[in-house]
Amino acid sequence: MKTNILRKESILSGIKRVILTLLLPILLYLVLVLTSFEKFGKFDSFIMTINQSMVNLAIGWSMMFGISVNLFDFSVGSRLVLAGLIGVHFSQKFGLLGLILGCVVSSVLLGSITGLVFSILKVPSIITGFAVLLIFESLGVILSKNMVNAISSEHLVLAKGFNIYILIVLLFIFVYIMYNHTKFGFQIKAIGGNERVATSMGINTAKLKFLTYVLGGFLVGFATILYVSNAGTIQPKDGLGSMSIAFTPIMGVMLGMLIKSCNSVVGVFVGSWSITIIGSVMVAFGWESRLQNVIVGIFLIIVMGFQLNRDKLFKPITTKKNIQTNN
Amino acid sequence: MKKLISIILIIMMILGAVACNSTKSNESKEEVKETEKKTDSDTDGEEVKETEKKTDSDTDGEEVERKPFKIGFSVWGTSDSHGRYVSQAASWVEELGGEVIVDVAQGFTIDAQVASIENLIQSGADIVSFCAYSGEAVIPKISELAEKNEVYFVMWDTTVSDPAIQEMVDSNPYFVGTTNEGQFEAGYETVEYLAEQGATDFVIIKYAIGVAICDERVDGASKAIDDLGLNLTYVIEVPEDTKKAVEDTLVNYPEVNAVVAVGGTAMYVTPSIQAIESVGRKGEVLTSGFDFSDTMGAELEAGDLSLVLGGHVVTTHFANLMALSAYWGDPINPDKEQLMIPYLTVTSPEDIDNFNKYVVGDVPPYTPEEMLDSISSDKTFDDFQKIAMEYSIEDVISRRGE
Repeated sequence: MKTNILRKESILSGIKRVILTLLLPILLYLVLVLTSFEKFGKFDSFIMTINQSMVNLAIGWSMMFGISVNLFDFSVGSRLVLAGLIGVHFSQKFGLLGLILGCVVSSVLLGSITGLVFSILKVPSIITGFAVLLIFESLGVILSKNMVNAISSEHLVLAKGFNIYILIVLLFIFVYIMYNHTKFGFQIKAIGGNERVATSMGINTAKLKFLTYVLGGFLVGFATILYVSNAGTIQPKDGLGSMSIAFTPIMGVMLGMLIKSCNSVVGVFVGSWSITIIGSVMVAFGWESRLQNVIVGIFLIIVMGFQLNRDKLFKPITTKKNIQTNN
Repeated sequence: MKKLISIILIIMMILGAVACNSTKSNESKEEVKETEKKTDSDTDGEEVKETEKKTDSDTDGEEVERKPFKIGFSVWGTSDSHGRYVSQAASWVEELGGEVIVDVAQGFTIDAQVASIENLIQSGADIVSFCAYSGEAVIPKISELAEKNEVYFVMWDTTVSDPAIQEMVDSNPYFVGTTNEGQFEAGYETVEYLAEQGATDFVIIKYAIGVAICDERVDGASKAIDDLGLNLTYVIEVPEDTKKAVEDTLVNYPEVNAVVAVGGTAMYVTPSIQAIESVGRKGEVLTSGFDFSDTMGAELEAGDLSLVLGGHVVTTHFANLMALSAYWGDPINPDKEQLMIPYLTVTSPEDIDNFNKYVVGDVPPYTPEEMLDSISSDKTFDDFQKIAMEYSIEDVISRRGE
């Protein structure tokens, strides 16, 4: 009898957590459905919003490890662009394999270079990020001047149909295991919690931070494949233009890491998906497209403000509940 | 020992700085002398030109003295094909005995563009050549810089819609003129062409805000939509994620059957094609763009793209020629009129092959003799305008005798 009650409580708690996790994107999607049931009541439209968040999700996962150890690296976009251009170049010679290896290998190298600059020179991550961003952007421009920036449609298959889900699921499994079930994952969480304590526990923080750049580079490589395959093109950016690539994924990560009802890896998915739906809501309302960034910014401030001040907001209710329970 | 090395290094640095300064001073003095000769202690623009002409005539009879030149060319980037091609076209005049320095402004902002012009002037440019892509508000500042530093300036691909700015640059003795394309007409013709193909409900993608060229193209397209009784369903402005923006629009407005990007074919049309395919409407929604891209050949062949207007790379070439004529003291455009440049319309992969071969291939489409002839003393601005308007792939082929 007691086991049954415990099992029932566990199931109920699981359902509650799932509902709380998916509450935000589902509510946002409901707004879309209410706007136009005819257009958004379809399963295809629902799937489209998930599809649209996949690229930002992959970029978000690649940044998650760095953000966990308080590394803010805005060079992700420039690395993605440069790796993408290299991948496109290689795809013209070696086909799909060229695209995959070109993106992943070059991205790992670029991530490692960034990590080395950070580790050896001890320059703060933001400064390192800006410095390498300028270098990688310029390299991208130089490279693009000497190549035909075109990718054959047959090499775009990885973002088509079910392929994008297969790739995302494989990435999810990898990221989930790395973040939750490895010594590396535990150690970066320890550093993120309190770096001094982590160091005194014998964790080599410098080495771990370097490894987050390498791992981030590896994941950016896959995000690049999705980015190129999704848009069908990759355009070099200069004048800090590549920074904008990282903004939406960062918002997804920040939002995802604040969701307490699920694991951060899942949270990043929920965050990215929610941000994507907000963009769709703007168009559904027929609002000026430039307003989207304003709304997304306001939304982020509200959600983060709510999450970070939740204890203060609910303190009176919790206290009242505790008094009643004690009585 | 360390102190000694430090002292030696400091002395070397000071000596180096003094040496550089004195070299620069000498150069500056020579430049000042030359400028004094040119301006003849008069600040009035028209009179400056008169003096120059006389000086040239006195020394060389009817011939114009073609002194070596340095053109500072400021561009938004060379990574996109349009930026690459206009930069390439800008350097064709190097064959006339000068140098073209290309400077990529770090960003699409007024500050970045002004900084770029400042750098070019600092590097000794006699002429600066730029497009007001960050908005026409940048023009007064650059005009001021050019006048202060006595450097000629020419604008290409630029629309000045503010009469006050136009008046201001016209009164600057160092302003040479502007080249531009019929942006409004181009927008209009794009819609007309797509309407002939069956398009009725349009989405327009704007690549910039507050840029007159972009606005004129949109105005032209909107006017054609009105005139032809079609519908402008939605305007997407500078999307971060073009594919998503177009997907959302197509889902919200299923009646849309044409997407017109008024600039940046590679950046906006290619992702739009992906979006059309992803919502299962391939073959139902027509697309068109401005400015050539590397992928447009394949896209036209696959039927994903209907039309691209662009190839107006000669806009920088004619702007530079115009500026050179002024620098050499025999301005081809003394009244600072706007020189119109035609667009090339591309609707097939063959058109692109010809463009790549004859316009942006290894050999410039104009020979040095043709360049000099187009701005020679016996030519008027109307003649020059006629030469510019004759620009087409067929024109290049016929001049080469192929």
